[in-house]
Amino acid sequence: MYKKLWCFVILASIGLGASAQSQRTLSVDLGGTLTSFQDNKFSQVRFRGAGGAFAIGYQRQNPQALWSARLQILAGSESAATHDQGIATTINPRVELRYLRKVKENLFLGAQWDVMDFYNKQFDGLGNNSNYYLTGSNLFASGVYEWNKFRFGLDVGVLAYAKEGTGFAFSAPQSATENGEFDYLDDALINPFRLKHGKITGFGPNLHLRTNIQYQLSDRWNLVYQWNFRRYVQVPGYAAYMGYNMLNVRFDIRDKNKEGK
Amino acid sequence: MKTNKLILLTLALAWMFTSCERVFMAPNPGTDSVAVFDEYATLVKEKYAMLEFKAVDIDVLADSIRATITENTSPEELFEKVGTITLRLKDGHTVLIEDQQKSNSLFAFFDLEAGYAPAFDGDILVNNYIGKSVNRGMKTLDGGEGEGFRAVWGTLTQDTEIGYLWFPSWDISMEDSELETIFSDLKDTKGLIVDQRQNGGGDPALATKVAAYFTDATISTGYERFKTGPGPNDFTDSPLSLEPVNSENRYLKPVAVLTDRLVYSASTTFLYSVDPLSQVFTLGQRSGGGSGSVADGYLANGWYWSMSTSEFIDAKGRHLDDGVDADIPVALDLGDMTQDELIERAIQELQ
Repeated sequence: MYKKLWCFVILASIGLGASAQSQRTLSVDLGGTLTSFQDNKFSQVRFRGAGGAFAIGYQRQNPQALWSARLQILAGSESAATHDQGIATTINPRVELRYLRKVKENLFLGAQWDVMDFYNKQFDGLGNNSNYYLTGSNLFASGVYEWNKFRFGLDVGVLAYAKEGTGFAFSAPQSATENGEFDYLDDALINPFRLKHGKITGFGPNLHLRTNIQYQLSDRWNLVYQWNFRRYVQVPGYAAYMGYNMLNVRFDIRDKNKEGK
Repeated sequence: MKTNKLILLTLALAWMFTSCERVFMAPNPGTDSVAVFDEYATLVKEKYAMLEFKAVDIDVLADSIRATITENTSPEELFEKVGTITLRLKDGHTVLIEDQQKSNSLFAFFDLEAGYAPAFDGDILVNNYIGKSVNRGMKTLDGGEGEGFRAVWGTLTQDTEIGYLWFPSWDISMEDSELETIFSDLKDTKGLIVDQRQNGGGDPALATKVAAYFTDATISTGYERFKTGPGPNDFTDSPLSLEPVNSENRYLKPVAVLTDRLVYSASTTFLYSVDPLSQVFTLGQRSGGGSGSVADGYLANGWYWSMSTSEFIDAKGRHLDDGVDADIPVALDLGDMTQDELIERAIQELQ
């Protein structure tokens, strides 16, 4: 009974501490992207293009910690740098959670978890290789530094569970063919949402970087720039690269300050 | 901070990080003649799965052709030189196309039927065996390529105890319930002709599903050997087996599978799936083969390529990509439009 009482006291203290001087923000982002892609397993030709971005997020911040949840959706098209065949259409929804602790004045460190990151690309004019996807869940070491009206963020990928739709020689995950598990009747070979045939990869084979710069234009309006870059390697020497530069306008729908409640 | 300075800072950062991407990414490949040729030759060397089986020394072949490419080589001449590699592989899945959007595009592909007499005639088939005017009992599933059929099945008027089943293509969708209907209709026959002629492939999963009706036990059908890396010996084998369908309508009586040169790709999947079954035999012409899985893409200059990046080796250890002779070779006599010699021989064998 005393254990339960102590748990209640501790949790209540955290809740009270969180609600004391905490800022909660619901925001909507709208903007555009410049994107790039290259899958060296099949071609060194780079793809470049542009698209749109939409995100909705919730953030809660107090003097000790910051946590957020966010849904972001990118969509766009790309063309090849050296020819006019095979326009690529991309959709990239992502759900992310983040928790940071204050370590010193204006500096927060912690982790970000992409609960689900689905990157899907469709190429015109191709058959079995018309679809490329890289789907999974990513864990980042994350930091935020606040300075005046700026907020600078950096995320470095440390671990990922990823499933890539193309292997070295076929439109099936490399692990399936490497492990002798290829079977046309296996739905998991083509279904990006089935966990089977995915791999856990760390920093190195999965180099994943994100930078964020947010500038507060006014009480509710912000300008947000994000750079996201990923190099994913299943076969040494044949990496897939994908990246975007995103510029969004962010509007805070609700911004509450709670003091000593 | 003033707005214009903010915009400049954002643009500078975007440029800087975009430049960072370029540092990581491989440079774009060249589009000059030698670069395009080498790109294709490298793709074949690293990804084509049957260089040894096809007896192609890609280094020797590429070196001999590259020596003839100069700065004066026209795009048409270059296509012919690159296409020499394509044709040398003698593989119906390995194709080179200049521009898929152009009606008069240059293309290089292996002609499966070259040197073979036709083993199928649609008029003979329809006018004597499956047409509504000669066989009212024949059923069809609509929705095939163009205005064709997905499946044709029934019993033959020549022998009402012999069933006939034709899938013109595996590039279709078919519900499990539709397959159940087909095999339910055929289950009381004493023998079945499965006509695979002209079926150039499609969905190997569907071909395997149909094959699963012909066994009541799990059988090993062979293995698919995939290219898993760039080295000449970078292969991994995926063993495959045929599981019986969970159905009361399995067909375990004698089956004659009719083949011609266009029996290819997923149709070869069907053939190797049923080959181990003692009650199944093939009849007709050497099949076209095409046992490998296919990858495709574009070269740096936009030419489309496809190639086999795996091959299938069946339960008897046979390489299937060049096709397999029928158990009972039978030729079609186009001089006699009143009968299909392959069907007639199949009826005899199924007595």
